[in-house]
Amino acid sequence: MWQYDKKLQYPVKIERPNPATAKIIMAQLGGPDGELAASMRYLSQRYAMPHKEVKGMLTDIGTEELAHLEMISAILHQLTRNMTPEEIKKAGFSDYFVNHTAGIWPSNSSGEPFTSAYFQSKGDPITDLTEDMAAEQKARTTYDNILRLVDDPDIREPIKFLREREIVHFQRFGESLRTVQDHLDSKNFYAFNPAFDKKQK
Amino acid sequence: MMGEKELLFKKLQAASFALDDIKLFLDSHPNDRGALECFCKYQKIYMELRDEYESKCGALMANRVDTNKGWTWIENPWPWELEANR
Repeated sequence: MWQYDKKLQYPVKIERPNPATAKIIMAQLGGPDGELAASMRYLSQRYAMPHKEVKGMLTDIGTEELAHLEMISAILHQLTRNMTPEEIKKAGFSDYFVNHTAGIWPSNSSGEPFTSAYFQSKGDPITDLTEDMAAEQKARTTYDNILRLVDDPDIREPIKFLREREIVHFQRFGESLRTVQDHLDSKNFYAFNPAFDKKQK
Repeated sequence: MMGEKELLFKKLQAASFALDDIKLFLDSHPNDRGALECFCKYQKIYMELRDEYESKCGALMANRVDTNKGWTWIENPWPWELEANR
């Protein structure tokens, strides 16, 4: 089970609200390469994982992604505080505001609701870990794009931290894929699915 | 017949759940003295059981791993597996 730590993994302290930027960063809350999808992806996949090292990795990275979901939510919360109706209209935030006011609701940056179609849990360790490595790179690219669009250092600092974690996770998933492959036949990694088929004698 | 470790685990799970439940009540009744005393009682019970359990079975949280015994965090069984719930 989980216990809540009453702290962010990395501080979020944004002095100047900016709903236009909130709309962009929403991509990493409930978008296809966002933190909610990341967490649900890894925490769902771990049940089919046969190796203890990788069960641990999926549990620990999936848990860290929940902390990242909280950081993104904190960024969005601070970017949308004390908004006037005029500021909302000027920032192009009306479409979100009319449905959610300044509440936090997981959607992508164009307002489409979060869906589990954003990730897979295939029940095949090689397939799942290959998806996980791609997912970390897609999130890294999204953070790179956010950094291209955002100047405020208060916003950039936590975003840079999150971008760096994507790179670390990609590295750890690469090692995890190697762990899985080391348990398989090096002449044919696909001879059987170690999460489903009985191991060949 | 329940073994010593299984009995310890059951007690730990019960004390932990007691805290989960009283915690919610205190969130909506933060000034209830009786509930506070009850929470305090189970805090002590839980911490004693936790320390005994962790010394025998390994850490409940990664940050609490006793590194003298190596990186025991990843040891099987994991909580969703049948072997962890027998």
